[in-house]
Amino acid sequence: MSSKKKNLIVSLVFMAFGIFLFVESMGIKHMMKNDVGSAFFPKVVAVAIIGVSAIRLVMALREPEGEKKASDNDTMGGLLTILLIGGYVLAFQPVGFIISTIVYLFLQILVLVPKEKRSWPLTIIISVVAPLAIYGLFTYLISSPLPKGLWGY
Amino acid sequence: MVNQAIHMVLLNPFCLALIFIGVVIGIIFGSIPGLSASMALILFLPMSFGMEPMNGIALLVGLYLGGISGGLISAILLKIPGTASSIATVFDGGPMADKGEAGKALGVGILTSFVGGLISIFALMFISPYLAKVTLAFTSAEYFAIAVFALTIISSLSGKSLINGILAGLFGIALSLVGIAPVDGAIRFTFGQSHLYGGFDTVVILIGLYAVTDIIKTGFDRHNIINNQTKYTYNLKGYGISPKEYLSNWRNIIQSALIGLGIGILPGIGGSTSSLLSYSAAKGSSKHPEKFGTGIVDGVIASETANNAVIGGSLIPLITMGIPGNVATAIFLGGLTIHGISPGPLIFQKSGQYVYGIFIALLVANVIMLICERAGLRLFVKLLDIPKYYLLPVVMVCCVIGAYCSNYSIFDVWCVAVFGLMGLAFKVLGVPSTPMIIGFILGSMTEENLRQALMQTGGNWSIFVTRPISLIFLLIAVLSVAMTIRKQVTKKK
Repeated sequence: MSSKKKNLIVSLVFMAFGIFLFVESMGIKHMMKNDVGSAFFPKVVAVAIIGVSAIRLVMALREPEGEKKASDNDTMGGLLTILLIGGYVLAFQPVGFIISTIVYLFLQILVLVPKEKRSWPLTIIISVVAPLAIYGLFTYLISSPLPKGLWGY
Repeated sequence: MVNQAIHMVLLNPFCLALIFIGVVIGIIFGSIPGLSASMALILFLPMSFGMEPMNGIALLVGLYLGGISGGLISAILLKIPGTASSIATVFDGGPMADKGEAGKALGVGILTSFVGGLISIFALMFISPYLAKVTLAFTSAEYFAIAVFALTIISSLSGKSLINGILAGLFGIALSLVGIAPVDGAIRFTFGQSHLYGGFDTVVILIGLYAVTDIIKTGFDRHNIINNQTKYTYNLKGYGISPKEYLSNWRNIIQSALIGLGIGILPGIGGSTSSLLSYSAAKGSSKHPEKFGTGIVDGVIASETANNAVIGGSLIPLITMGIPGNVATAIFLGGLTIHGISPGPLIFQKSGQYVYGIFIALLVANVIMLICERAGLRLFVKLLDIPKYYLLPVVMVCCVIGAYCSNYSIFDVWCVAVFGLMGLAFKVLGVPSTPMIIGFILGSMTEENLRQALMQTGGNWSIFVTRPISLIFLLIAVLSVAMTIRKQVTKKK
């Protein structure tokens, strides 16, 4: 993405957010006579966001069309990581800490580790030992329970 | 109260052990690039919730001090700062390593970190009781003005784009509005979600923006995950510098410590600025400025003294007014409030024993750092080799636990993932995320004090300019905005 394009997106997204904030604030009831009310400050913030993003927009439009920077991002690695984190937080409670963590750690290490460095035994050991150690630490040492999930562990 | 504090910290082996563990883990997190002092604090915060208040706080103290001090190891041996506060250490520490003086650079860095920390801890001990007395006279009007002033500092955190920084700060303020409003208790922006009544948790936002975002970014950058850089070897006896040579830098040491202290006290600037600023100040006032950058100890001393001096400085506004100056102290604030210790002018009366406990814990942690970082140097250097592809997934698991344990709510865990994605979007679009955190924390303080002040006067806005302290802070705020805008305009031309 060129810098101009990025700044255009920033200004439009924030402007939309500012408008949304303002509209939402209009529904807040004024309860106390002497007070400016709970809608006042949100409206100030919303107006400020709309104002600043308008300046951003004007500045972005004036920017010269910059060159696209070639990105050397590994899209696959990033998307898989996002997917794994998403899956992990969703499974965390229903499946339980230990099982969801073992599966997450195993897959996440596989995604991140370069092929030539891959070591199955080490990956398996880390993804099993780490969750068990953390679980023990939290439940028994600091007595702060972690989700047990479907099968009780 | 001082006696109580000594009993809770100095005469309590468990507490001393926690400080030791905190310092060691802090150094490890600080030294490994990609892990930071803030991350260490975030991950151990939930663990501190379950402990006795003083023990939990002592652990956080150790982590904070160790985390800032560990950054110099990789700054010198890998030429990559382990934490942002050690950026300027690379300028002379790197060239020193090239010349085969890595050992000396490390030794001096550790020694001077200790000295910088010590000066700032003493400053904290002597300034904060007086400041607390002064702030006793503050009303909502003054707090509103201070919050506004602190918000204007966001501009210095914005990195390349001021305007994106302001947007991020405003967005942070907007996030702080969610939940039950101050003063009248109106419920707003919850969209029918009862989880949102209490608003977002600072810890949750921090974990998302600082830890989860970094891990996702590593995923996008996985082919660079193997450390290709060469690691320098070092040899070191003692601290590598004679007392005479070290003390010949006394002007530089005092100047850097004062810069670090000042930057720490001002909200929102942080360690990386302090090390850069004191480096350029040391260069400016040196008799041989041309040698800076070629590998002289002066540069390492300036940077490492200043970044450790930030520690004591940043705790001054936190303890006396509840204003966190950087991410680390924001987490610290969370640790204090969960144990029922509310920072503010009354803290010395209400929880004096804990405040003195923090002072003692800082002094102990500083000494432990001086000894451990030197004695365990070989080990810390070895740990730099732990591959990130094993480390980061485990860190991610700790993040999820951290989010879960702050309220035992799965909703917070989901929020962490969402904020992580948001942080990624911010990074891609060039919007800095630190202003958002500062905005989030100061947002509720601004609104609450604004409304309370106006209620007292029956809606008369003149209270903010008729009370002298409030007026002064508002004027400084206007001045700081004007100066930033001027700087931006001249930069464009």
